[in-house]
Amino acid sequence: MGYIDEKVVPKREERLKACNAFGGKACQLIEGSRGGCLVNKNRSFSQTCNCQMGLALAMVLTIPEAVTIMHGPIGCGSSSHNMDSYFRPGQSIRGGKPKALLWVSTNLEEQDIIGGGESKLEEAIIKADQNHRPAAIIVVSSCAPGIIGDDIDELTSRLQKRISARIIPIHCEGFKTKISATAYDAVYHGIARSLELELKSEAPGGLVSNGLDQVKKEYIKSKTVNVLNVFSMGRTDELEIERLLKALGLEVNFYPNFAHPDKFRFLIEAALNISVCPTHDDYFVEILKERYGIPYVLNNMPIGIRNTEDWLLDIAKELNLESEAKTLIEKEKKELEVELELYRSILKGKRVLVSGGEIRVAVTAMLLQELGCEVVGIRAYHYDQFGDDIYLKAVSGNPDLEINVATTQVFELVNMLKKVKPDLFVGHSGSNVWAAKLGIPALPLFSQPQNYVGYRGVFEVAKRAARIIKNTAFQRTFSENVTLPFKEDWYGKSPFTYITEK
Amino acid sequence: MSQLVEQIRHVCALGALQSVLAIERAVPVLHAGPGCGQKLWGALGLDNGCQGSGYVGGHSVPSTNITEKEVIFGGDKKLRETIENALKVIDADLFVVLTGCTSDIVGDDVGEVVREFQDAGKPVVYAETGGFKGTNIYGHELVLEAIIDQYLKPSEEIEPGLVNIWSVVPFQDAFWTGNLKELEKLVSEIGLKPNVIFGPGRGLQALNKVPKAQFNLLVSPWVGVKNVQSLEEKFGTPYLHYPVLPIGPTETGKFLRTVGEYAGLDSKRIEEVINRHENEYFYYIERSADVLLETRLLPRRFITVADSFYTLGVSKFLINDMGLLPETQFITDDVSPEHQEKIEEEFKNFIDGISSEVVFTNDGGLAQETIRNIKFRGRPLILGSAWERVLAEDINGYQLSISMPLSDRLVLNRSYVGYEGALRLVEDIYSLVLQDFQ
Repeated sequence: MGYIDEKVVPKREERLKACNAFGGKACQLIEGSRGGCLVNKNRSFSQTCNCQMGLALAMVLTIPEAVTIMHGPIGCGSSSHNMDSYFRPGQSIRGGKPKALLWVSTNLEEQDIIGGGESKLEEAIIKADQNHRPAAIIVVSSCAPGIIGDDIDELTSRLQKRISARIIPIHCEGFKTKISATAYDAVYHGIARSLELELKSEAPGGLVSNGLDQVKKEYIKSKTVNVLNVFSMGRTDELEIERLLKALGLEVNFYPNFAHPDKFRFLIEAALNISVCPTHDDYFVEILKERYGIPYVLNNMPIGIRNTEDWLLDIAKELNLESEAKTLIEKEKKELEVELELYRSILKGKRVLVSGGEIRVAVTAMLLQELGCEVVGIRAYHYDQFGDDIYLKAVSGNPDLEINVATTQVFELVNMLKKVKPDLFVGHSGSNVWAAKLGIPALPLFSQPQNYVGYRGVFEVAKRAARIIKNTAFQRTFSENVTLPFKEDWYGKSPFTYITEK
Repeated sequence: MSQLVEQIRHVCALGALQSVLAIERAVPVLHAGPGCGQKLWGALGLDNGCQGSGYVGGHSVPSTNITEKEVIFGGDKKLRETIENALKVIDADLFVVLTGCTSDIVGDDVGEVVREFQDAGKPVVYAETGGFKGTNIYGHELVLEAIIDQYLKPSEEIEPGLVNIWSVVPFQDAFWTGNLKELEKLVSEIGLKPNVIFGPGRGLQALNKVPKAQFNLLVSPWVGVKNVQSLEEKFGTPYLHYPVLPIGPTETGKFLRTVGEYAGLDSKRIEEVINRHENEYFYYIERSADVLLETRLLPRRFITVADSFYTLGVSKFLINDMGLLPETQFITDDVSPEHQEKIEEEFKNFIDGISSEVVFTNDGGLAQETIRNIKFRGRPLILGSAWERVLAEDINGYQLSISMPLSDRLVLNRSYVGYEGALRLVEDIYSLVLQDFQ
């Protein structure tokens, strides 16, 4: 790929032709994507959404024994204190000793904008190293230093010579991309350029290693896989993934979230890299394949019966475990069927609209279809080539299904909901309240303490959806007593009125 | 204070978008990067006492979501388009355009764009709140300045007894709705007509009344001084600056007498109000006194790590009414240097010659480092933010979050102001201590 030698990873609009504004039929979206004509869409009215810095922080703040430095004015990364309540239980549930989240803002002010912010960043890095002796110092760069031209790469590589912690510069200036998922590439880029990804201890003349040791090592490696975890899946989901892969005789290591900076040296001691979200990891798995020859699977997300099966079979195929996988799948499905019966009768025919991350919404839509629901609309934060196959499966039999590509954009969401009037809304955090204002019950698209993934996830989602539908008193009384902040004639227009070509 | 900051206790100037949202049916229009609104709302709203979206907050705030294109070619066109369409889509009465870092560095002529709408009679005002210019508290003052300069019209008549109340910063103070309501109630009980613009059921109707007031009442250590001065300049309205957030009988009594005297009210009526409240307050204190006095593990020393409103207000209450002793107090709302001396004076002015050391810092890291070096004989009481939870565990203190960020509490209409507020604070502090025994 060659991007790894660049200081900054290209934005996804360029690298993947990703799109963040679309409204229309599913078949048009997929055709447009395959024909390469989805790009350059825009909006003439928009609402605040998120930026790549937020997504980058959701990854790096999980890394233990690290200090994150937010290089920018004090508002950038300011909501990260909510990560403290995610980080500490996340540490302890993974067996670590919970510590308070460590992060520092360089607090750039007017004189720094004029004179440059590098000296403050230098001070922050040195102070972080001296005060906390961390394993890594992660420098997250925001819009202001990006515009005034602070050279954080030059600074960090100069400082690295006298700092014991590994310094990881991450370029995630919010204005640089409309596709906030570029953050995943930016973080992996920083990790791949700054952390040791292989163990360099076994120098010649070092430890005596005999043939048997070598065979053992190779065997363990052949049975070890890396699973690349994501912010929206908590430890409960990781345990379900681990349960399924262990049933195939595999050892599982999770990266990068909650992985200690030193743990990355064992990253290449694995037979396979497994993604749980194609739009999350393509950049990194490709680097690992190129550098170390480790194969990867990247087609799917293990949510829903069919996609969990496809995901497992993808993995099994790479490792010659197909018959084991098929046996496991049959057994799991059989058990699940019995448990689902009750919920199927409750959920049958319920009309659902799903809104959130590109791949997650499509696989969740399929899961709901498997439970007997009718999917009446999908909204994706962005869209790129990784969606094509999954969306084709998700909308099979209904190519005219309405799809909205939008990062949040509540005004489009509410307009769609008003027209479609679903029985249930499944939404990304920050959106569910808007459905509730219309009296529509909502199931969060993800919630880290809860299980969504694998066969267990299907059962859990079914159970929770059924419970939410059972008593909608809150939504009903709520909708009768609050008003939405949009003018009445907005609802008479197409939800995609403000999507423009340029 | 341009130094590094660990553990933030306020955000940047653009955070004033939350002050706009505190005015009913007013909406901020951000000319900023795509993630600014979400982060600032998260910090001051969602993760600060669970103050979520409300009517038009959270993800529904209009924003130009500046990209590389606007940074390179300028964002005037994008802003014009966004305001124009916001007026079509959003059902609101006042639109307040706020700029972020990107726009302020690039130098978009926001004033020019907004004036086009103003000339066309649209209710649009603007403030340049680029994050590097200061805190959200500074931004809050800028938003009020913008409204005073660009929206409010002089009034021909003055309504006797009408008093505008300015105090805590909405959302930054998670208890703002309750606190303002309590101040309103107290002021109305002594016979004045309070006017508060922030909070439910007020909105532009209250805002439009501002120039008619007999006087402005600022209950704040320093925030808002600039605004009441501007109101005096523009409308000739005099102001009374009361620097302490009144909590508990001693300070609230003093507050009511000061306001009454300033407004020329009959002191007999004020004493009646005070007397009635004190009787009620002490009814509850009398009942709880057995426990308050005899439980041996009750804290004797306290530390505040909070906004100047609470460091000062809470210190006055805990020392002058509850008989506690102060350790160092940390004031974290980036008080501008010209106000620091006066605030420091207040900390030398408690009963019985008691005084407290004060540190002005918005660096939570520094505050915590200093606290860890204090030798405590008993278990201290730490009134701070959620950041102090881990610290309190380490030094075996009692911790209650009262200042941003309050990510460990759900706050609805609770108030810590006046007589009622003091009772709430006593309940919260001592419940914490009692729970610790269970």
